Amino acid sequence: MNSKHDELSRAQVDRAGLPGPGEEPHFLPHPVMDRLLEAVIVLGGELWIERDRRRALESLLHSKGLVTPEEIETHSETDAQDRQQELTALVTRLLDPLRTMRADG
Amino acid sequence: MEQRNPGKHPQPPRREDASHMDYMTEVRNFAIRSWFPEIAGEVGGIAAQAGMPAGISADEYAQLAPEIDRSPAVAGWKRLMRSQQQLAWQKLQDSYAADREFWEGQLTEAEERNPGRLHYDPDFQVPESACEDIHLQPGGYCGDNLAGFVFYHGTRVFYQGDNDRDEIHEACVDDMRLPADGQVRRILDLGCSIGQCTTVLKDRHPQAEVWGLDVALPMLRYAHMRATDMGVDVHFQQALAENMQHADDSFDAVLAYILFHEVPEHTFEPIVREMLRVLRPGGTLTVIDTPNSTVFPTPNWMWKVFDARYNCEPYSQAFGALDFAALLDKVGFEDVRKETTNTFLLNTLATKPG
Repeated sequence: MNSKHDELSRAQVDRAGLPGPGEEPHFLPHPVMDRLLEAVIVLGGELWIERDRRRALESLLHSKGLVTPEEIETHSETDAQDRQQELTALVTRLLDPLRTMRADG
Repeated sequence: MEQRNPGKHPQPPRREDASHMDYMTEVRNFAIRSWFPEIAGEVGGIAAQAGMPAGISADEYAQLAPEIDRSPAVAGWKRLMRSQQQLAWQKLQDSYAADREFWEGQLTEAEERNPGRLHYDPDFQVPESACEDIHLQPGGYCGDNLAGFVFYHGTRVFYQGDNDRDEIHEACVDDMRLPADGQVRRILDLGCSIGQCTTVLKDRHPQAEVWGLDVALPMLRYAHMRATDMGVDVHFQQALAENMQHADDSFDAVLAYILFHEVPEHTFEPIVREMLRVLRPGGTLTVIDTPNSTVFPTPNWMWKVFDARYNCEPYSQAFGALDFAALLDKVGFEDVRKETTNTFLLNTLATKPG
């Protein structure tokens, strides 16, 4: 009657074996490898988002006769601050898995 | 801000969310369709070398697990599956949260526009077991008012593009057993989530009163908004599956789609007894869920254990090990039958004695 399980709620008993709140398991030989793989997945997502948007934009511009591929190649950014903020956000998303890594993975 | 394409098949808030979903769908396709067959070959080889038969028990899998988990391919696959799931949810949740007031307003506006179809008690106590981050969705089904929005798009990724038009929910409804006398006046979609089967049920049975029941109010609010936008007249209710708050013999048919593997073991029998109670004599039950067996191929065990522990499906193994058909027999259902489906899920059919 006084076993440890008797003191636990049913849900806690059923959860045995799951990572606890805030715990991130690692599967690869070192936690850094898990975080690097996650970073690669994030990077791929960011790459595709941008590629997909650029495809749409260039297609629209070209179909409307507004911009030629040559003009895109030679265009220089006018809002440098906005561009820098986007770049910072991208790098943060990419590298946060490493920054937030704990000793136990 | 106008919601783009509201109703049955809305778009996520931003174009980049849609692009990210496409990407994550491809990552999942890669993991499941390209990589897993190779993993299964390796895992099956480990089992064969250990002299195990094609189908093994949970205890036998536990013996093999340490060696299986040492495989770099298995480890990488698990990392990919878990990270894909986490990152897909997180981006959607962040995107909706950025305009939280607008999206919550959409739910409220639907409740004002279509009153009397969303039933809940503000004092309802959600059990602890329903508060898991199920499938790693942050906050799970109950912890975020916008969970339904996030769930809809996140599960489009989960279904790998095969359910973008509710095709799987349509197939589930079409696979249901219906009463032999043809009388279908009230139908219950138990564990209805965001109401995709619920609205299909109304499409298929327009004369019937259709109820979707779930424990998670955020999901039900989204279900109600979605059905309202679609112009489909159905009821949604927050309640426990083991205490439905409906009269005895009050439904002609009950459908439970992927409910049982997400509820704790101690609720299996009470839920089955409650389904029997609310069905009228001759009423029919259809349960579509993960297969029940004590023996699975070794690669299936690897995936099942991964899902239970690392995809936050903590109760799924208990349901897998249950002889569900025997439980239905025991509580008083008759003509219990198991049928395969077009997916990995199993369809268990039963009838309440007339």
